[in-house]
Parts: sequence; structure tokens; C-alpha cells
Amino acid sequence: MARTNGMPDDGDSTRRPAFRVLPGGAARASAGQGATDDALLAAFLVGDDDAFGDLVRRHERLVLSIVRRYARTPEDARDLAQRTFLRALEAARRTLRRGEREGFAFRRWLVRIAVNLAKNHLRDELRLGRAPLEAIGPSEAHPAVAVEALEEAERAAAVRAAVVHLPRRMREVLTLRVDAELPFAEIADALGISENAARVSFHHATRKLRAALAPEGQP
Amino acid sequence: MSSAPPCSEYDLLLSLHAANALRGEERARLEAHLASCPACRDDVEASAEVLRLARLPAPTPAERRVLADLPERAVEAVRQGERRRGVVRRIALAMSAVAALSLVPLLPFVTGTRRPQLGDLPRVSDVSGSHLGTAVELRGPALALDRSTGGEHPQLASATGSGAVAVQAASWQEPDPDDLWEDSTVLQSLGDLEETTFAAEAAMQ
Repeated sequence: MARTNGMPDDGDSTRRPAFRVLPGGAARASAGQGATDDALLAAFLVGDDDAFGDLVRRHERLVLSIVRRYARTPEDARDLAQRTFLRALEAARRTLRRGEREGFAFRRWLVRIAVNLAKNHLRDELRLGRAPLEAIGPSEAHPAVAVEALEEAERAAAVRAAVVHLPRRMREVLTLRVDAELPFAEIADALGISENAARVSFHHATRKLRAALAPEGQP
Repeated sequence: MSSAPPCSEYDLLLSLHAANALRGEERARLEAHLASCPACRDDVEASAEVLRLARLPAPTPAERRVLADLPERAVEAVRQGERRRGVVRRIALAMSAVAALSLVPLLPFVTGTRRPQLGDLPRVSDVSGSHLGTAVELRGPALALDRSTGGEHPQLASATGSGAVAVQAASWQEPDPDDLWEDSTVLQSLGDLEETTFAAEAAMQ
């Protein structure tokens, strides 16, 4: 049966993006190890700075998978990811200070903040007339790919450019699925929408991308 | 005539299946349909292809090198933030202390508490008996110190109504230092007054 290569199965509850940036996407990340996010946050808030480093290592792949698409350079991606972590930390600090531990989920906040930062970054970049990394032609972003399969790379560049110009909600749902490989339940939770709304947005996004890829004159 | 639902009913599921997002009953139902519908199989293939193209490629080695120090940079940024926060907190504390000190002279007006004047305090103004060791009776006006002249030796002046003033002075409560952010100004000024009074009395003898 046809399926996207490497796409995770939503039924796989053990899949968790984690640890260092490695090729192959977030699906291959290992499950979280050691202390929980809450425990690491608590350790950090009482003075253990390294606990925050552990927290970043645990979630960096997830955050980078979300912001990379909108970054013009790797440095941009790194800065966006760093800002995501700092904002999430600040939000966690405020929440824990108020004693509100119920419903607190560092990972969900990371996704939400990363999506918002990426959205703002994309808006600023487009306003300045600059293209994000993935909207740039393949010869600029991945020269090796361009040499090996120019046509394939051009089609990929066309689709990725179309992704950037999708309506915001569709783009967010689509990228959280194909880049971050989140289950629709988690996507819906992070975006504050119903799971069904997320699935419908994904469906429309897919149709729009297919239309963008179709040759002129074809539906 | 088949009673199977039309293909349009599977639209949403086709896209989700292309993203490998179906499970359970939905997945089984769609797979049963796909087994007998080549058009929908093609549809899933087309969606899967476009999603594959949309997916970000793995980071290049150069990109990975840039991203590698994210945890260290994030931790350092947090530490810098903490240091900045500490400096701001100290400055705010210092400014609050200065503001509180500047308000201390206004405390008697704010609280309604009157600072005792030198003239309020009963002094030996009339001594009955000229011999040492005799009983001393306190009566008559108390001595008041007039510092307005700014001379080296303060003048002594008499004040009236010393009885009431004495009662007031006796009942006056020194401000609780805990109520004051900084009590040194009040205590120091009282100490200065006592020293001046002692000097004045010594000058009289």
C-alpha cells in the first residue's frame, strides 16, 4: 500500500523526537531517557544550569524540525530554536512560580512557541523579500542533490515553495506532520484546534500542494 | 449495482493514509476500498509523492555543524539572562532603598508622629537648695535650644507650657525601627540633639 517513506505511524506511542540532529528525520529519534521534563525544569530552577542543557538536547530535533523550513540560513535556524527554548523556559518559570503544575507540558509549549516564532520569522522574511532556506532553489540549498537529480530537486523546490505560501493553518498542520512527524492529536493540542480540524487542514494542504505540482492546465 | 460508498467519501482518508496517519477501523475500511479501487490507489500514490517532496531533506553536514552547539548556546544565553536579571534586581533594590531614605524625614508628617524638640524635654531649670546632695525639684520652664543663630554656642531659651510638653515627651514613642526602611537618619538626629543639649548644659555650669 502506498505510503510516504519514513512517515511515522500514529499508533506508535514510543516515537519521540530527541537528542542530536542526525539525518533521517525525527522519526528515528530514540525515546526520552532519564529524568522527565518536569524534573529537569525543577532542577534548573533550583540552580542546575546543566539540566536545561539536557532539556534542550532532548527536544532540539523536534524544535529544529519545525523552524528549519522557515530559516534562511542554518544560523537563523539555530537562533530560532534557541529563542524557542528560552521562551518556553520563561513560560515554564512563570507557570511553576504560580504553582500551576496541572496541564503543564514543556513539549507542547515548545511546539506552540516554535510554530509562532517560525510564523513571525517567515512573515518578516517575506516582507523583506528574502526567501527561507527551503524556498531557495535546490542548486543553492543542496548542490549535491541538484547535480544528481536536477528534475527531482526542482519539483521538490516547487513543492516546498508552495508549502511556504500555504494558508497559515494548513502550513502549520502540514509541516508539523511531515517535518516534526507529530501525531494529529498532538498537532491539534499544540495548535489549539480539534483533531478533526487538523486532519481536514492537512487534507486541504495536500490537495493544494498537488495542484501546485501539477503541470499547467491540469487540475 | 454496488452498495459500496462512492470514492468521494474517502477523500480525507486518502490524504491521511498517504501520511501514514490512519489506524484501527479507519485504516481497515480504507484498505478494503483500495483493494478494489485503482483510482484511489493512484490518488494515495500521488499524495504520498507530493508529501515526500514537501518533506525537508536531512540537514547537510555544514548545517549540522552550525546546529551542533545549540544546547551549549542556549545554556549560555540562559546564564547571561540570569546575570542581567541579577543586575537589574540589584539596581532596583538600590533605587528602592534610596527612595525610602528620602522619605524618612517626611515620616512624622505622614504618620502624625511629632518628633520631640529639645524644648519639650524637662531640664533642670530651678534647683531648690544650694548644696550638693539636696533634693532637686523640677519645675518651671524647660530650657530650649535655639539653633537658628548658627553660632558656635547655642543660645538657651525658655519655653512655656513645660508640664504638657513633659507629658507629651514622656508619652512619645520612638519609632519602631522595623517600621522604617532605614532608621539611621532618625536615630542619628536624636543623638546629635542629645550631644548638643549636653554641651549646652555644660556651658551653663
